[in-house]
This record gives sequence, structure tokens and C-alpha cells, in this order.
Amino acid sequence: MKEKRAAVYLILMMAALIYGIGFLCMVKEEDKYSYSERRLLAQRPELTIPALTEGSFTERFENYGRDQFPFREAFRRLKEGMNLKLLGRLDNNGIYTIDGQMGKLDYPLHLEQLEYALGRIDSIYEQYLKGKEMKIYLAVIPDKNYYLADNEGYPAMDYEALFSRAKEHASYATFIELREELSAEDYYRTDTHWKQEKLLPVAKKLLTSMGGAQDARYRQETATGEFLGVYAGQSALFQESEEINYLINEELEACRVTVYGEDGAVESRMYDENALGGEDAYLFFLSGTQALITIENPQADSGRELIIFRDSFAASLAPLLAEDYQKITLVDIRYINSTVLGEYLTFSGQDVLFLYSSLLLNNSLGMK
Amino acid sequence: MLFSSISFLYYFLPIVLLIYYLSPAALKNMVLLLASLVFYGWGEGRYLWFMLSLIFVGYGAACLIQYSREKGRKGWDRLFLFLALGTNIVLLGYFKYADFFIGNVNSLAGMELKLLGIALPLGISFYTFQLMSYVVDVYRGQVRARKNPLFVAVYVTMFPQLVAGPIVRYEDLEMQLEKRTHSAIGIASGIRRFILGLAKKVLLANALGEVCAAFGQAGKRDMLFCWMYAIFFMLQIYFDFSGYSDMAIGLGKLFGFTFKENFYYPYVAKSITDFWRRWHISLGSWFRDYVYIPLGGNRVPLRRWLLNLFLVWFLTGFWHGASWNFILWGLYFACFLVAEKLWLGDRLKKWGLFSHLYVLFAVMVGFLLFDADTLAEAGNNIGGLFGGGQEGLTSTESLYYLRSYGSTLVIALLGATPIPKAVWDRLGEGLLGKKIFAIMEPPVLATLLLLVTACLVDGSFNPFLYFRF
Repeated sequence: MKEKRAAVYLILMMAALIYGIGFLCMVKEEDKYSYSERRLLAQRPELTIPALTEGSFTERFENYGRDQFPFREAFRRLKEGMNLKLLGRLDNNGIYTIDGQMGKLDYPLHLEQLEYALGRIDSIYEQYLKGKEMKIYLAVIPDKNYYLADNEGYPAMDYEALFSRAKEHASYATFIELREELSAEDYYRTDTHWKQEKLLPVAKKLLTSMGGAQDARYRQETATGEFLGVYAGQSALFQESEEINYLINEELEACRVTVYGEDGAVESRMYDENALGGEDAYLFFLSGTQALITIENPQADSGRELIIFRDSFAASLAPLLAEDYQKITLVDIRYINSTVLGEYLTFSGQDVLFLYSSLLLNNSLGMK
Repeated sequence: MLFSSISFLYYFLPIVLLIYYLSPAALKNMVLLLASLVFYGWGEGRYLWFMLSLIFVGYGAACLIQYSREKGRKGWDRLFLFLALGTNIVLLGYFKYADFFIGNVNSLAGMELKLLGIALPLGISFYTFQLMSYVVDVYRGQVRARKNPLFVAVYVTMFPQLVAGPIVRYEDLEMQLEKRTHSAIGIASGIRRFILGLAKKVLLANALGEVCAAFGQAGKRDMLFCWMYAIFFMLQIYFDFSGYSDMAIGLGKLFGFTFKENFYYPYVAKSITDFWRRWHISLGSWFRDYVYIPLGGNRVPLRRWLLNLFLVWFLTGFWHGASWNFILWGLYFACFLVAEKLWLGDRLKKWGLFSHLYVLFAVMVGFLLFDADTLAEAGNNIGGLFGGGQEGLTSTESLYYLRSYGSTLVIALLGATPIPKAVWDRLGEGLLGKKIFAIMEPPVLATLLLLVTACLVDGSFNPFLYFRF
């Protein structure tokens, strides 16, 4: 009798749990977007006979069930808590924390992707730069793992191989070494990117290597709003927000920023405060990921121009290079096919800097 | 549909259970059949007709065999038996092995015959074996053919065991299909078994699999990583498959069925012979009863016995997949079984701890063969255990994963032994223990379910190794 009572107790408790959650799954209003993970969430798929027979409905429904699960963020936190606190895992979904700095495991070195990236750079050189009087530079930005992971026993890509391969490959470019100019603290605690206020040594190294000088003085200001980087969302555990600081002076304030998009040329801002309340406050710098941006500095009298082939790291760095150039053009070939650049740009006499992070070189298939 | 999925746990299962328990007894089998067809069609809609056709063939053949017997038409029963077996074997061969044979013909004859690229119907290896056992059992007179096709269809398609076993015999379910009881104690036992299986699969097997996946993608493979991969994979496949079997047995209980055990702590075996009495028991007993014994078993001259044994293990390996490494995997175990039967059997009993280590090492190497995509890869991974062609003793990666998954490894190693169950049973002894258990067990199981749910919601690494068979 007691055994039966215990069995009934167990059945009732589990039924309440499964039917309770199941009911919530069915009635919960669909969310469109996950701000913590910065991605669209799967929506309820349409049930059709072909989708069912091909199996695509099943997969989409499971994605939908996962993405729209009630209290999803709480469950994500529960999993991370179990992994990190209870089981002593060193990372959750590849996200790890060392001395408060969050990083993401990215290894091993994908040689084929590195070669692909170098191949894209080669093709730009062959198509637009070869045989012209243009100075060409190549610099690789070490990602945060370079400073964090290897020293603490976390697996990391073979950075020596990556840097030496990049250096030896582009014989037509002068390689600028940046690793000595940075440290782990120069990156946002919860994000991939580097902090602009820490980039003056990098700007100096680049400018002097390209025949200029870093003389400008800036004042540091703090943008309003809170910044939680991409790793904070992916990790699911609570993280304290960070500040976004930026450097400004009168010369930068006078610069004209233009973004070239589907709507043609649109005037923009060096520091876009509209981005601060959005999903990724790092878009504050030059409005983030754009195919083509120009920064024109009316106060520069050097007569020099610079074209930067870049990823998102350059958004916060480029303003600090403006003092030496009348015009800087930033090109992101993840958002524009490099074979059509000739329709938008004239390559003649500018300095050219290929500036890519090790993260992109190791995951480069998006370069067009 | 995977048992370890949101769709199953929070959509399919609650709805099916509700309908099942609200239905009158006479309709329960029909509800179960419809639910099973939805379960199968959900993931493999295009092959639903195929499975139903095979069931129809098996059902028809069994009826005709019995009819021939009753009418005294000698020879016809055997004809229908061979027709049914032939249909199952030919279709299984076509879907599962056609490309393997074409590929080998191309290699041997230097031809370039085009591969068919046929998708393997989900669970075909399991349901064809169940159908064949049913027809053979009717032929042998062990069970009577059912005139009502519903019973045969429910027996074959029953979703708890449809796509990954255990391979259930009709004679074990015959009475339960007709009449079964649904008690609170049975249902509670089913819930307990299902959740423990789910936890084994999601919390342990998937985590162990992450290390195996990391090994697969590793830039450098040092000796430590090779050993870790071998041990982690051995544990992963155990918790994966035994977890699935636990879920199947638990689900069976929820619907009033009792399935036989499929695993019994295989890693505590003292010999390979003992290991195979504890690992995938339903497959081993199927081959024993429907291939090995009909061939004469061990009551034949030595040479014939050797032939029988190697044939059975060739087929066991081949059943797991259309690849030479599976065949070698089966024959590899046949060698151990022969050695144990002829020379090692009595000695192993005296070796104590060494006999355990011998089994674990032999099984671990076997699973390296099992998991490899090619024989060359298997050779590299086995050689890596001894430093062959590898890069050093340790690396940052291997040490990292050992540190990160060390606690999971310890839990898995302990969980693969009878120790946790023995401790659990011991704690639950006595009046006080029983009272505490009665109160504590539901929250513990609920916590496990919530942890599993958290892993499913926040993760996509959820392979199920035995689905490919």
C-alpha cells in the first residue's frame, strides 16, 4: 500500500512537470529574436506533406521547440551552472573565463581557411594593385585567445604558424607585427573586440610603419548605456556590463563619415550613439559592419589616402589612423564581392592595408 | 524522433499518454499503433509504406505457414518461410548493403559501377529482425500466427523499441499484446527507468561524445588524447545505447509492456564471452537462436563449430554496418571467443583483476575499430595508443579535456559498474530508508529531467550512435 502511494506521488509529480511544461510549450507566444545570443529564433514551421516526408519539418520543429522553449534563458543558465559549477567544466559551449576575461575556444588552426583568406588577398592584389605605385601592408590582429588561452592551458590555434604563414605569403606587402602592442586587458571582458582607448600603441605602430606618425592627442569619453559583449550572451550566466569608452578630438569631430550601401552614399557618424541601446553596442564604432565606409579628414594636409581591407576590429581603430590621411576607405569583403570593387573604388596611389584578425583568417569562408 | 528531444518529451509523449490512458482497453493497441506510425512517420515519412509492406508480408507469411500446417500441405510452410525471410533479407541487403557490394566490386574488378546512394530506412535492421523472428517462431510452432494484423503491426511498430531496439520477440509480448495491466507501481517504475536512461544518454553519453568529437577535430593527436578518445568512446557508446534501451524499457512499462533487459553491466565482465552475455543481449540472443543453433551450435565437430562461430560473428559485425571495419570488428570478437573456449576459459577465472583489464582492453580496441570510418583510421587510432605516428605524450588539448571532463569521466566510470545501484539499494533498505526514498525520489528524478531539458534546450550535440544501424 505504501509502495503504491509512493508510486502515485511519483506519477503525479512527473505528470505535473511534463504536462505543465508541455502545456506552456504549446501556448507560449513565439519570440522572434534572442538578444543574448544575437540571432533570430526558429518559428513554428509550416506542416506540409513534402516537408514531412523529406524530414525537413521534423528538424525545423525540433529547432522551433528548442528556440521557443518556455523559460529558455533560465534553462540555458541551469545548463551552464551545472557544467561549470557542478561538473567543473572549463568551458560551456566553448566559452571560458580566465581572471574575469571571457574567451571562446577557437582551434585548431584551419590551414585551408587561412589559405583561402590569403588567396582572397592575393586576388585583390592581382586585380587592383599589381604593377601600381601603391604601398601595401598586411597586419594580423591577434584575437584574445592569443593572450589568454595558451598561457592558462586552454587549447588555442597555432598562432606562430598563422603569423609566419601570413608574413611569408604576401611578398608584395610589408608585414606589420602587432602582437607586442597588445595584451589581454586591451580587449572587452565580455566580447571579442578590442577597446579603442587601448589602441594608441597599435595606431602608432601602424602609422609609423606606413610612413606617418602618431602625434594626435585625444580625450577619452564614456558612451552612455551598457555593453554586454557577444560572449556574455553565449555563456548564459549573469555578467556585469562594461563601459564603452571612445577617443575624440577636434580633428575627429570634423571628419566626415560616409557609408555606401544599397541606398547609395549616406552620411554617418564616427561614433553612432544609436547603436548603444541595440543588441551589439560595439556597432557604436563606425556603425559596425558595412561593406564600404569612407572617413574624410578635412584637417589632414598630407594628401595621402588609405584603403583598409578589414573586419570588425578596424571599426574602432580606423578613427585613430585618420590624423595621417585625408581619406580612409574601409572595405569589408564579407559584405561586398571583391571582384566588383572596381565599380566603386579607384585604386591609384593610395596606401593599402590588409588588416584582419586571426579569428577571421581562421574562419574565412565568408570572404568574397 | 529521438527520445532525447524536446518534440518527444514535451509534445509527443504527453499527448500519446493522455490519449492512451483515456482510451478503453479495447482501443489501446490501436492507439499505440497510430502513435507508433506518427512517431516513425515524423522522422521517416517516406519509408512508412515500406515498413508497413514488410509487416504485411510477415503477417501474411505467418498466416500462410500456419494454414499450410493445419491443412497438412507439406513443403508449403517452408516455402512461405523462405519467401518471408528472403523478402526481408533481400530488402535489408538492398537498402543497407547495395553500395557496399558495388563499391567492393568496383575495387576488385576495376569497374566504375555507379553507387545507388540509397538512404537507409530508420530502424530497418531492428524491425526486419523482429519480423523474421516472428515468422520463424510461427514456423517452429513456438507461437501461433495472429489472424488479427493489429497485433503483428503493434508488435513490430511499437515506438518504444521501433528504431533502436531492443529486438523484442513476439513470444515475449504475445500475452501482453492481448491483455496487460497498467498499475501505478508499473508506471512509476517506467518513469524511473525512462528518466534514468534519458539522463545516461543526455548528461553522460553526449558529454563523453563531446570529447570524442574534439579528438576528431584535434590538430594534434598525442598518446594521452588517443587513450582518452578510446576510453571516452567506449563509455559513450555504452551510455548511449544502454541509455536508449533503458528509455525503451521504461516507455514499455508506461504502456504496460515488459521488455527483456538489453544490457547488464558489460564492463564488469571477466571474459569476452561474459561481455557478450551482457552487451546488446537481444541481438546476441537473436543470432544465437536463429543462426548459431540452427547451424548446429557447438554440438558439431571442431572445424564446423569454428565455421559456425565465425559466420555468426561475421553477420553480427555486418549487421552493424556495411563496412569492412564492422565485419572485422565482429571477426575480432570471434577470435577472442574461440581463444576463450579452447584455451583461456579456465585461466581467466583465476586471473581476477587481470581478467577485467583484459576484457576492457580488448573491448576498447574493438570499439576503435567500430568507430573508425576506414581501416586506415582504425589502424592510426589503435597505433596511437602505443605512440605510433603520434605527436608526443600529451598536448594542451588532451590535458585540457582531461581537466574539463575529469569529473564526467569519474561519474561515467562509476556509473558503468553496479556500485551506484548497490549503494542506492542499500540506502533504501529499512523502514526509514524506504520512507526517505519515497519522498526524495520524485524531486531527484524531476531535477534530472530538468537538467536534461536544459542540455537539450541549449545544445545541438545530441547524436544517437545506434540510429545509423
